[in-house]
Amino acid sequence: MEFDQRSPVYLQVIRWFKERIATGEFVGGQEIPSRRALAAELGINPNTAQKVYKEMEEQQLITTERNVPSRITTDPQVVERVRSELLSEAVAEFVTAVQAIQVPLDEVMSTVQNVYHTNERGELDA
Amino acid sequence: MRKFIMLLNEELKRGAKFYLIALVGLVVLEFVSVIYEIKNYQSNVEEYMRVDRISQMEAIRLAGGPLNFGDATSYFQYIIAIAMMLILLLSFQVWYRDWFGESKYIYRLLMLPGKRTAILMSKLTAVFLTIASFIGIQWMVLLLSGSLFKWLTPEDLMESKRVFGENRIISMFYTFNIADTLIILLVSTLVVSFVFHIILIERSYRKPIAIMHVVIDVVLLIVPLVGLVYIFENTHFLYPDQITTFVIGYFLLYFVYVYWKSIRLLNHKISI
Amino acid sequence: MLEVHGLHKKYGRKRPVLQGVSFTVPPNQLTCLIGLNGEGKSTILKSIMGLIPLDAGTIVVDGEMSRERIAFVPDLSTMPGYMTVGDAILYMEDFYPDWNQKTAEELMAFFKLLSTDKISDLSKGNKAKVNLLLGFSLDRPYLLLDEPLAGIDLFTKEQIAWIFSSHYMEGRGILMTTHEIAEVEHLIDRVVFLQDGKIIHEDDAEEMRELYGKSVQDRMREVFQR
Repeated sequence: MEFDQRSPVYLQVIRWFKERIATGEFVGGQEIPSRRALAAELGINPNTAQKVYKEMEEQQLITTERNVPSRITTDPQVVERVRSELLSEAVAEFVTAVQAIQVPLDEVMSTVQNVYHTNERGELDA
Repeated sequence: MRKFIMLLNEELKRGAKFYLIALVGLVVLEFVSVIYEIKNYQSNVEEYMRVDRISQMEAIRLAGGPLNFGDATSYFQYIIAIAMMLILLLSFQVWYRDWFGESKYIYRLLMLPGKRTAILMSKLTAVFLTIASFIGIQWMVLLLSGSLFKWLTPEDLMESKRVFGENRIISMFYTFNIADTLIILLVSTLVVSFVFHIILIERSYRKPIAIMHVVIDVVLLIVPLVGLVYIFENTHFLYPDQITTFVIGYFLLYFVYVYWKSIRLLNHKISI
Repeated sequence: MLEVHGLHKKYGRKRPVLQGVSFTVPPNQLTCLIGLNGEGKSTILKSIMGLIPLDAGTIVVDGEMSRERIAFVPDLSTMPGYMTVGDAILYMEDFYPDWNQKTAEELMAFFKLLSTDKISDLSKGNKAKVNLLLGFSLDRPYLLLDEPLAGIDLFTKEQIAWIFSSHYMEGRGILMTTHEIAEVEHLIDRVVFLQDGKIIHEDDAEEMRELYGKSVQDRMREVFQR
């Protein structure tokens, strides 16, 4: 996995998890690799993997029990929360970018709709 | 103790190739020199007989008398001198080979658990064993050369009375007893210790300071010794026997100092 | 904790290489010692190991002034060239009570080294792997690495960098010097900046990124371009 060196590695890994939780690629209750395996797979420091798991536990993204591999949360509210988090982040970034070039809101909205539909069609054709 | 033995094993392994080459070379050289001397003498006698048209006895007289064992082994002293040079070289090489070259084994030696004393002792013992084996092998070559001499030299050209002739080295070898051999080994060990000491100084200090240390140590050896012996002899403060004991005692004390200082350098001052 | 206090080293009458270097290497983290060429990074590592005598300074490892809990991986071979990899491993097993034969065999397999390979015949990359093997196979809590990635080809670098994501990192505090910051940026936990023989900054890498949006390389430029 390639990392942006200007933002914390552990946050980037958590985001990677969040994206997959939001899309349902990681199903509720699914087992996730151990800290060691995650570190080896992503090429990160095991300490960072440790930090990732601790943080994900605190955010209730995963459940951990002793001697048992950790699992993705089954709580649908958490999944919803993650989705809206990611959405808000993406929107915030987008809005900042668009406000920087001072485009009026209705033009923004219609462009968004156009691009969204075009992309969708493009994916269906592919 | 275990560390010492393992290091000694490693030192011997490292030097095995050069040791064997040197040993074989020296031994072959000695045998060849004996054969050469015999043949050379023979051809001299024959030439005198042929050119001056004289009898064999006359020719032998002209050639300087019959050939004795001492004459046949006259090159041995040079070969022994070469051997001593090689041992001196070895004393340096046993340290410097760990510093120079593609791998720096000295890093490993200095980082090993346990006391660094074992490093010094293993190298000293390796050189000591080399010296002892050279002496032992020289003895065997001497015996074999004796047989070789008797076998190759025609009886009428051979002298059996003054066996050693003018060859003092060989006669010395033959009159060796255990005590003499031990003394030689002790003195050699002390000399090698001193060489090691100089090497450790060189590896611990920058050149000007290193030279200063070496000079001080040499002065410390010679000046008090020579001065005190001079005083003792002239003031008749001690009997001659006692003077000898004093000299030996001083040497031993000095080398305790050399040992102590070498260990100290190895533990605290040496730098890679 | 590996603590280094007030290291001083001077060669002759020139300016001191180390002028009171003090920093800490926490356990279970990868600390990177960063400094420009010839600033004394190597000298620091070697003096911690007792290979270069210090004019002043102390080294404390988990409360003790003993070096037996530190292993060192230098940037050159420390075993005689005539030895094979197998010989070197036997040697280490004989001399070191804290040698872990299992780790050594695992690493030998991972690095694809044969016990019959003669060390003097190995490529630079393979020599580096052997050095790493010898260091990591000691069960010691602290490890010093001197330029482990210097002058090594890409694929060997990847193999070596893998170690830093492996379980071999667990239970170890590592102090590393390297110029290849880009290759190991994402693996570093802490950075210690050395300039003019002194430590001028110690930073937690992730904090730096989180609070200031700066990468280690950014920070390097900041710190050294004063």
